[in-house]
Amino acid sequence: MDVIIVLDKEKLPPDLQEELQKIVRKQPDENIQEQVKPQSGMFSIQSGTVVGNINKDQKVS
Amino acid sequence: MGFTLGAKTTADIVQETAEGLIATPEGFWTDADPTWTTIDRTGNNARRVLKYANGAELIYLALEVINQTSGMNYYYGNQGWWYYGKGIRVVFSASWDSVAHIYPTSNQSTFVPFETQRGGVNADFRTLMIPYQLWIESNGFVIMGKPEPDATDTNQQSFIIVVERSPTKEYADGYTNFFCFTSVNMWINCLYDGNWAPTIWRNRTILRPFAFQYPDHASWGGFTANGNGLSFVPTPNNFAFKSVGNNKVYYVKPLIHNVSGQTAPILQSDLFFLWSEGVGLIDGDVISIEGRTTKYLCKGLDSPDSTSRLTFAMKYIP
Repeated sequence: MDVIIVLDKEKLPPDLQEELQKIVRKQPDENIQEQVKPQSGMFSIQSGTVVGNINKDQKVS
Repeated sequence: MGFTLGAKTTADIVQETAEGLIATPEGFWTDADPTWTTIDRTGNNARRVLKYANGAELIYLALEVINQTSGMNYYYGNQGWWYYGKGIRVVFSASWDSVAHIYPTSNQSTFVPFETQRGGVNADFRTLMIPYQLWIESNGFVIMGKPEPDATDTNQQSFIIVVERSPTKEYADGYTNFFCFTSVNMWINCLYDGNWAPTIWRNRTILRPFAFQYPDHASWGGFTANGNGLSFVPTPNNFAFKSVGNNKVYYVKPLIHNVSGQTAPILQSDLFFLWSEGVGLIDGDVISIEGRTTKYLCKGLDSPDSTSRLTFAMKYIP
């Protein structure tokens, strides 16, 4: 992705201001997905899902 | 092998564990001494000893049912009276005396006194039933049990015993790939390690053959497992829990160290981990692990004489 440096966005033409706003809105979602990805290694948190309860379900497999 | 649950006597649980390890298809476990059986359940006579041989790896594992009359007076505290216990003793050794039929005096041991009473245990292990959950695979086993109530014993405890071999280590250290972790629910931070009792009768939380065993004192006192050779890693107030955000379960597997502190991690358990109650998970929950077929079962065990709970997840599906 190209890097855009904006010193004062009010001085940009209206169409570029709108484009800049789209980029600013889009960026956080992409970044957050990378930041929460678990790391590997001894101290890392691992994840799973509860798929049943042997006290309530006939069989959990 | 695999997962089983039910209710058996302690001798039958030890027998099932030993036979299960021998039956694992990898063939690393064998019966080390045919004179050690669980046929005679009187005294401390119900016992098994296994040999683990895998390439250069060699270790002996003895499992003894302690059922002598009144139990063993294994702890004398500062209060001025003896505590007696019956339970299971786990002993690691590097060799086996096939003439005297006993492990060498150089060994590592822990006595898990889950049936405990001041002045003498009343329950007879020939008949006392233990509802239990058991996981067995080539790399070891996990037992979680809770004795049926006894009318006269007032310190009955649930317990966990983990014996595990890790296929990998963090660095070459010259020691084995095994460890043993034990805990009970009433004195969850270890009911002292004995005062005046011989070393073979001490109640220890961790064995790391043959780097260290902990605790290993001759004086009275309470000792926590966490941070003393084993690390349950919290995040930071809870251990394994279910996220209120996405319902996923998050956990960190226990770390085993090569010192009785927390500064030399050598291997990581794959058979069990600690979980927290009140944060989404409940007793009986089965957790499917991302990226693996493996599932773990969350157990929360109180005991007839204490509402304190052992909360460990143990392997349930390979």
